[in-house]
Amino acid sequence: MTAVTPVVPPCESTSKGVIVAELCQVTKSFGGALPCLHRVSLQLRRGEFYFLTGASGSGKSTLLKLLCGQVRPDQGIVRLFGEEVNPQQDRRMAQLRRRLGVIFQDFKLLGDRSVADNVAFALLVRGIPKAEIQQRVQTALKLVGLSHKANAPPQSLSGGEQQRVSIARAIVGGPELLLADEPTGNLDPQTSQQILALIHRLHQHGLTVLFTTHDLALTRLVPHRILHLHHGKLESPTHP
Amino acid sequence: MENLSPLPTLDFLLPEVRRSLWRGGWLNGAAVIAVAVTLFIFGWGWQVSQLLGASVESLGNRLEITAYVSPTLPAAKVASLKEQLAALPGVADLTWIDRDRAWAELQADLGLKSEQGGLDLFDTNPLSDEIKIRAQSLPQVAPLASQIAQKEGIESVQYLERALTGLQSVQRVVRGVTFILVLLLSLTVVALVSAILRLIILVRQPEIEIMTLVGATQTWIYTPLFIQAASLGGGGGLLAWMVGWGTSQQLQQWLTQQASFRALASNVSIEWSVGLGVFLIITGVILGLVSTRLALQTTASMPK
Ligand SMILES: Nc1ncnc2c1ncn2[C@@H]1O[C@H](COP(=O)(O)OP(=O)(O)OP(=O)(O)O)[C@@H](O)[C@H]1O
Ligand SMILES: [Mg+2]
Repeated sequence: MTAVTPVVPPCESTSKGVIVAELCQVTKSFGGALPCLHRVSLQLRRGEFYFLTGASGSGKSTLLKLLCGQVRPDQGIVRLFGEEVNPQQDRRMAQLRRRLGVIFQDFKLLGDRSVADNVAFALLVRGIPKAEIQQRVQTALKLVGLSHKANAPPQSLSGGEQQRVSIARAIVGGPELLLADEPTGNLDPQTSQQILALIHRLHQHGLTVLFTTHDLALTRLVPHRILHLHHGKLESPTHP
Repeated sequence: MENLSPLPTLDFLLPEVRRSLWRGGWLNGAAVIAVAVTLFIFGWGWQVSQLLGASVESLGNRLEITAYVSPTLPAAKVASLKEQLAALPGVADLTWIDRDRAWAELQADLGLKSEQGGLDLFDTNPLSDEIKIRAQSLPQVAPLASQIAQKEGIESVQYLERALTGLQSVQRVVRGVTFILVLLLSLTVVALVSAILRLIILVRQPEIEIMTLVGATQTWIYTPLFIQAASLGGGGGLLAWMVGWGTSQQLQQWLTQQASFRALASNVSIEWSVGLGVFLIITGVILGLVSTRLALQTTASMPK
């Protein structure tokens, strides 16, 4: 047998503290003719704001799911905060996910509890004491401008308000990286801008953000790096 | 970095279990009843087999072989016969009752007193010497009896073995049937309860997804489910015991009015004990936990 060169070249994370997340030569296929992602490499630097664009079905959500360990790569390595993401290591994954905030197009709020309880849920599952939860939830709701709706059921809120609740839930634990999967996909242009403005403000306070959208108009509103997914490849390379 | 506390806090658990039960709706009732039916059948199978065991035991007191000595046996040979019988394997105890004593006892039993002149019926003692031999165990009775019968000087042998082995085999059948029935029902119950839990997992998928994403460990996510299943199983055990206790009370009352039952096992109670109740509840809890494990194993929760 001839020696096989490894498909994945070693990916060193030298600047551990600076890179919060990275993909090294990651390939992910769902059994289609073309892989969804093909040898994608990407490094996200602390304190940056990234747009991730691409047509529908180009693999934006898949890339985010790889980062939060919901999907496993066929090949390549995914790292968060310098540690390899391995969905099978339950406790380590839980620890890594506590440093992430995730929001979605469909908000994923739980309809059987109030706005405040939805936000509190993120802290409750971490075993944080009740008094502290209450205080942090208040702060988070204030930050997204929804203190007055704390006891309302999420269904009674508008789309933009629901997304703000989900942002509050994502940031209440003090994450280092916010993964936003088309957070404005269900919202009208004006509300979308408000949500973007809110996330932008959080970024200005130090949060690293990966924001996927196929709304190019949105990407022009704030001057940030744009990564573009096309045919399973990342077209705008990370850092020159 | 925050510490991962391995076990969920009550602040988290109680509301989640409550929600999960609420979400399950009537499925919870189905699970409880399925467990209860199984454990009810088990409980009665156990009680009946205990009852039969006690009956065998109480009859076992009368379990002895009576050998009648031939009247023609010379007195000189009596001692050697005694020795031979005592040496037989399986003999626990041997009592020689000579015919005079036996006659006196019989008369007393029958209430015949010589003063009353009732003895004209028999001028002479019609009895022969009698030997009561207790076997060590039930299976030894029949072979022992036939060995005794072969001894020189023994006229006839009597024993009660048939009825007893009959009772014992009934007990064995009851045990076997209960065992098989409970095994089959347990498998059915575990399959049913785990299917119910899978449905509940499905209904709770949004919560489970959120919990995973915000950094809950699998232990935290699924402990409420284990607690739910354990309480449903324990509830089923309790229900089985309560119904079993009620029916056993009724039956006991009815039985104590039946003369034949009193004669058979007067000191036996068929009432379900508290101990049995505790056992059924624990078994129910175990069934619930096993079902949860199965439900989780057959639910794809790992990322692809
Ligand atoms: N679990 C899955 N099973 C099979 N195929 C999948 C799965 N998840 C994603 N795909 C496929 O992978 C491709 C990329 O999907 P993905 O959701 O990442 O796209 P996207 O860029 O987020 O699209 P959109 O803009 O519509 O949200 C699609 O062709 C999709 O059908
Ligand atoms: Mg998507």
